[in-house]
Amino acid sequence: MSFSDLRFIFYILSPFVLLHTLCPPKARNALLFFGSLGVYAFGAGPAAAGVLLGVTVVNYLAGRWIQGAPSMRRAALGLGLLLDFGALFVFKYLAAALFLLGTANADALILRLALPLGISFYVFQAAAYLFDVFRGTTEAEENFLDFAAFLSAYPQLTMGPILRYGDVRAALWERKPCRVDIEQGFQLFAVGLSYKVLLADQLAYLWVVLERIGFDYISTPLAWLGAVGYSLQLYFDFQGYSLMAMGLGRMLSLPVARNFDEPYLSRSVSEFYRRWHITLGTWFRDYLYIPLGGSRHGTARTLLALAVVWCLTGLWHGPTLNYLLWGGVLFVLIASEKLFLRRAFGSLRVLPHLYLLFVIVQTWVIFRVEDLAGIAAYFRRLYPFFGSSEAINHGDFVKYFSSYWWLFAIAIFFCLPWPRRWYERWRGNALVWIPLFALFWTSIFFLSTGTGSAFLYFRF
Amino acid sequence: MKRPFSPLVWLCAAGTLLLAALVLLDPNGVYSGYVDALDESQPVIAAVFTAAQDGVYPWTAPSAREAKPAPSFRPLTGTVTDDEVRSSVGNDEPFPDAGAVAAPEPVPPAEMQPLEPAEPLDTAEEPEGDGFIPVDESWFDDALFIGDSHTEGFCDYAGLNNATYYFKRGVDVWCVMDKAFVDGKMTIPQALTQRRFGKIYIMLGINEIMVGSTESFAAQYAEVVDQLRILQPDALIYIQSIFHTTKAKSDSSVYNNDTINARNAAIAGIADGKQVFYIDCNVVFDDETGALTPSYSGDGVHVKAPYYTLWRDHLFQFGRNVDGSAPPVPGGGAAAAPRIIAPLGAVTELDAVSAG
Repeated sequence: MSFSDLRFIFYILSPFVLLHTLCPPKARNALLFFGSLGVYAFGAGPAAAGVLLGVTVVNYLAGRWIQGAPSMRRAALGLGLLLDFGALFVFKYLAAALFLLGTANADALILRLALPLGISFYVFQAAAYLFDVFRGTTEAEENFLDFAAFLSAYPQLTMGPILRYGDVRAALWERKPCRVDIEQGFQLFAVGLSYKVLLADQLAYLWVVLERIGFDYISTPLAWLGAVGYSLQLYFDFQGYSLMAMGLGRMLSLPVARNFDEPYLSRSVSEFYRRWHITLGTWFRDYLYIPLGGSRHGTARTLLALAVVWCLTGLWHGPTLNYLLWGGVLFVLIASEKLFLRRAFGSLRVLPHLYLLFVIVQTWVIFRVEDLAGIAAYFRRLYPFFGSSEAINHGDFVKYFSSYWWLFAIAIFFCLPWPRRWYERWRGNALVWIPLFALFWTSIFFLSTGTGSAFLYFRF
Repeated sequence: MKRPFSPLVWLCAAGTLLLAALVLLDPNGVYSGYVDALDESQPVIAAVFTAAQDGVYPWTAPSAREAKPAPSFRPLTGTVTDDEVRSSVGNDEPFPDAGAVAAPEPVPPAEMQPLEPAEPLDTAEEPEGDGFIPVDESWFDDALFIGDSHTEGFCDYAGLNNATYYFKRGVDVWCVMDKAFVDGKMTIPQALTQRRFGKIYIMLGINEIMVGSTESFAAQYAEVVDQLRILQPDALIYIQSIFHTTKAKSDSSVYNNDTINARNAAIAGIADGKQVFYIDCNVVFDDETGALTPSYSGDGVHVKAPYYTLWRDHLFQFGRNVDGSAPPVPGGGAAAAPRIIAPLGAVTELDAVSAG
């Protein structure tokens, strides 16, 4: 169940936090695990909960085996990873792979339909744990309930951030929820909720309209407006969700890592992906890029490692070809930066920012549109040098810009550094929580009246 | 360092309890309808906000106006069953067979061949005979289009820039006459006291597909038509069918074509053949399964930009000879090349339009 669901906010959030706070310390992880599993089963179905439970058991045993049987550590690691990524492959990629090979059948499609919510996140989280135990970075968790709480804690279960066991372990064993944690955690939750409902969900309609009109039939200015709008929508949706996860974690006294660091202020694509979905980027860096040699074995090896990492990063996001293309484009950009672009920019101040915004906005179009023909159509509108349809309404940009310009302005403002700086400086001050109180109830208004995201698409 | 204190969580918790109490205790009795309208699993507190959206607050005196029915699949017990409505239309099929209408490739309108005129409208719906004559663009000089986002798409892409459009995304038959969306400030009744129209085209129904029964929907639709007749006694009123969705959308969502067909049959019964008419627009976009042709649509519900001219051309077939004088010169409609869409800036009629 999504955090921006009214049922989660009013039926689950308070009881969960209350029970967790009042619970005897020894039982907290059991509560966290069973509570999370229950909420997950309710939202995603018992089959998905079964898969999660299976992954939890497998990784708990594998971790203990790696540590307890040094002569068989490689086998234990190998088996654990095989089961983890095997499950991920079967649920997420098998159908697409069979389809591409031309042997798709109904069974595979059924598997695809039953993709367990969050599996891409918790499988990666479990795999990181196994790698860390194998390398000796951390000790294996001996207590099943503690480990299960780590893997399934609801704040980070369905959409990350991808946690590292070593960062969470101390809090797993002992946490003392206190008033400040609950207050600050809820405040952060309110910020994330506002980002998602008031910015992302409102911006979302613009892309819906473009799909409805048909990409071949939008004017070039509207195409650019749509790409920028989607870039903002995606950021506030994901950033909002990650902040809600952080806030909920804080309310449970669990440290949940930050996932975004004002990415649109970056000066290169390489920097962007150190500031966007940070926990995924560090996962690929620590468990794939560096083991492949990183940048320490010469240019050719570096490029190969980057290519592998970016192809897999693309595919992690989805099994369709556009994700592979997206990863490939990012690889080309990052490789170009490493090879010559960064030097070319030198110490220029403004151009790198413009370059970053210009390219990233376009990469999000590739990310968003699943069929390659649609991507081609969209780019023919972004770069209208190949002719255009007569069906285009040349007033469309003015029409949508006049409706959305203020929302874009607010969204762009919140991409800048000051809101976060002010929040961190003034977080206990009435200047912060009074507006947040208003924003919280405004968000609830939008969710209640069906102008929230899921419903947004269903009002014609 | 002073530990920060933020009362936000406590205030929100207190606010939640207060609002929940307001709804449950409901001193003025204004919330019960809104609570019933909520989905079972939703927290009751949502009713405060759905009511506020209609301008209803805890201190509002309960009004005599009948509230919109709750979303429901259960037909209300009424005097007319679906079967009776269908048989009064004299038609077992909700809409005439579309015949062999080829699905055109998406081609710029200037190159598109005009659509073959569809089979004549089933005469069983107009017991006195068809009476329609083909017209051209000028027929729409004094035309008003009322509706939801389908009408918005028509306004933007059909190239009928001489007509007037009152549309709002999300509008339905229960609120279309009450919401002030004309020019952003007027309701339709207010706007219709200021202008006279010769013909009014209505397309509503998709947003309220889950609300009420077929009968209550048709009854409310008939009320809207009656109001329009009072406000514009000389205007012809055209009820346009609710558009089908694609088969995939119909099978996987509440926007189901069987429901749409039932409702279309019911609103077709409002037509009297003299001043109120029913136009089946689904012949324009349907495929052989009686659903919206998938290649025409990006979202399963609306058609993409170039197809709105097909809808416009379909409407050219349904002119009337209203005052007994010679009909407008035929042959300007279906046989003419579709117009190139004029730049928006050149149009003044559309200044009267307000988008939702």
